[in-house]
Amino acid sequence: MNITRFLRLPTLSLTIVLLSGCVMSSNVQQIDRLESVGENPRIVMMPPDVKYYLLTASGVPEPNVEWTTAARENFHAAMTDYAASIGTDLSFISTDSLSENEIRYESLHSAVGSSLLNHHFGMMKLPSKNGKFDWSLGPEIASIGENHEADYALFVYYRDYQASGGRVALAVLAAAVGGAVATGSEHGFASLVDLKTGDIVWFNVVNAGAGELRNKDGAVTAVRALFKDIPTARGSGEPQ
Amino acid sequence: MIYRISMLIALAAVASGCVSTSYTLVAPGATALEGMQVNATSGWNQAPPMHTPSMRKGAALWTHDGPLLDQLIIIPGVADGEPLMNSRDKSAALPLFKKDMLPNEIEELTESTFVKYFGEGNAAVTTKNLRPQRFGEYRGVMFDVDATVSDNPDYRGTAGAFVANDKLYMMFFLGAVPHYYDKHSAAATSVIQSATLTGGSNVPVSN
Amino acid sequence: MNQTRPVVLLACLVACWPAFSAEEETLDHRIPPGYEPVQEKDELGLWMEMREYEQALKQSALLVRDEDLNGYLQEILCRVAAAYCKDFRVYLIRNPNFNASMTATGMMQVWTGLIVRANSTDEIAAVIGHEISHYTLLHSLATLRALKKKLATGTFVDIALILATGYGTGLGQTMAALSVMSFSRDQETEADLLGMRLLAEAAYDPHASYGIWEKIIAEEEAAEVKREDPGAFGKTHPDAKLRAAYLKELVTARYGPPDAEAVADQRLLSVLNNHYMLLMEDQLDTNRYGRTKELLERHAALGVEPSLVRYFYGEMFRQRGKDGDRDLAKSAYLHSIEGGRAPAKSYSNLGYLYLKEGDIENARTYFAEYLEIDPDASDREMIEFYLED
Repeated sequence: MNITRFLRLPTLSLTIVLLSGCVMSSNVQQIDRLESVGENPRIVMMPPDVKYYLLTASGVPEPNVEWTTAARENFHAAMTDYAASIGTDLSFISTDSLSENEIRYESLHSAVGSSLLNHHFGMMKLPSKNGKFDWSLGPEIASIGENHEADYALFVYYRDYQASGGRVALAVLAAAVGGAVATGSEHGFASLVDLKTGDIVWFNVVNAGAGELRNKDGAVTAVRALFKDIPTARGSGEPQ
Repeated sequence: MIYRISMLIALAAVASGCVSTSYTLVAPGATALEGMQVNATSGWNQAPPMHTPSMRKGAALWTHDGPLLDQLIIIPGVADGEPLMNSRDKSAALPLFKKDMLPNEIEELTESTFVKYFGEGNAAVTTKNLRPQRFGEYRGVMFDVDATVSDNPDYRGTAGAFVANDKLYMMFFLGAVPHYYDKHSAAATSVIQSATLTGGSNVPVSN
Repeated sequence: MNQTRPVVLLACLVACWPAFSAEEETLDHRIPPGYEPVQEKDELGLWMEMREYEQALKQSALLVRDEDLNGYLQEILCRVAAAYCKDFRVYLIRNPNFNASMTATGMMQVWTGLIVRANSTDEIAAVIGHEISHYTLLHSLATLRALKKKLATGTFVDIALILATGYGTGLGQTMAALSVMSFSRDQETEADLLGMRLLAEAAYDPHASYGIWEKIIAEEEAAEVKREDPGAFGKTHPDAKLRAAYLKELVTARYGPPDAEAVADQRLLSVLNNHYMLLMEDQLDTNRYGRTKELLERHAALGVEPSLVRYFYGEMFRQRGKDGDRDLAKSAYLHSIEGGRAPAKSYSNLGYLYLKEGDIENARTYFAEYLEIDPDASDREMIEFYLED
């Protein structure tokens, strides 16, 4: 007795990697600076979807608990510092405390993320848009802003597949027969949503070379790559 | 698995050489499809046949923001004994249109077809608010739809259908909830309600 | 009990069924209650992935949250699992097909199609016992390791296969998807055997372990459209007939013949009666009439509320629409109405049938009655349209 279920997130990963060969740009910035009714712009971070895998020779990606835990912890720390450096207040929502409404918006955001990966960054352009970036989660998301006292929501998706020795050997072998075997990859995206309007005001896709979340310094680099050109409280540009 | 497979085919097509896959702009105004005509409002994009392997010849999928977020499916001229969609899986048991179907049966035909479109066991589809609607000189129906698809946002929708010369003409709109159904339902409903039979011309009627 | 019979049985089955051996007698749980992985990296990774999968599942729109249904399954689970009760969570998923599954972390999914197909609570317990056994026998982890090994030590031929099937991209199946993948034939047999024992120890009827398979076979034979792809299913599931046969022999040898008198299972009947519309509407949507008819026959024999069963007969005949079906549908709806507990749609759908025949008067009568019984009917506008016509 069995079920074979293919969760949608692998499709999302596939989309990002496939895009890497074909994409013209990987970054969208709709606004120059963050606005807030408070002293500093307040950002609420949705539970980041960050995972590390060991890519074995068999091709079966093995989720690695140690790496994933370290990655998430370092990410959390690097994020907190980074947010402060761009003049914002950052709060986190944990997976356990997500409300039903927030889960609906996570699901919607995944669909919106997939859509703009295919139709804005990718080759499946929608002519009626004429290059315009107007994807949104809708203004009813304001209730989330109220509940968390936040002006913006940040969504992050990141996957890192580390090739094992056996995997590298396989790649060499496969090359010999004219095939290609991926020897690991990292990819992800981050998106910033204005909680008053639901508009995605900033979106960034990253592929290889983003950084190494498993150690603290690598995480800082990765976070900078992930949040390249994110609008800040002071206006766009590098943080101090 | 029709729905998910078509998304994966789309992605594979993109990978195989970065070919720009063309969605085409639907010009506002009268648009003809296989013996019928609708009045398109602005902003619709028509999906290329490669992205819609389960659709019959002559059927079209239109979208504003991408099919995952909103899709308007127009299926013209389904003959007696034919299903609304195609499936390569012979065991799919798609329901068939029968020319003497009454409104409740058309509603059921649509519901059952769309469960299979999303993948049996992957989705629950309910229809409600069945009501009469005129399409030109033909008496047809409209009804509302709610679809729950696993690993996707929920969808809400509206459908319109009529039988003319023993053939079924079906228009079905779905939008993601929250936001996308609300954003596009007025435009979609307007397209659906504008549907009529043409004199048989397959050439787009321009304004 | 005759001592020589099992040996003769085993000898035959060793030839027909390689996985089978005297090991059956010593088959036992491989982990204690409250088990959690501590050291093995791949096992820890598997548990982490499955935990996240479970979190996502809790939010699934297809999850049935009804307390009565969940309570019923939970009762059965705890009784069969005995000391392992706390290691499991059971989730009821809206899916009209017959299935149940278990992950490495003790997350069990049961599909609504299983409840609709069971003839007794014992049969549901048999399936649950089978799934529990997959968990205590550590099958998920074993499958994963075997798969990795097989792929890693492949020859050039296998590499081509890897590339062709997409594993080569490294982004093929995630562990989550793999973990709910099929178990091997050997593993299915092991789960059958241990499951049978758990069933008996929990004072359920061990004969239910093959009973459920006999019903699946009967349903497949009644089906008008057969299940495609027997290849993949056949490779990992012992042939249903063979399975029913060997289990029947084993159970009879070990526990004696079945009870002559089958007693109606009040608990299952109450569950079916209270949730029949939900359970059977999804089955109707599958458009598989042969199977639906088979299920309705069983429900009638079981003693499910006659008005409900007759209503679905009406629906089934009406949708099937073969020669003579219209009359069968009409009499089914009328019969349902006679029973006194017909669902409101019996009236409206009967009205539509009369309309089709041109019997306007009867159509009007039943449409009017429909609106009286269900004043909030969502298709009121449509029905009134016909009444005014």
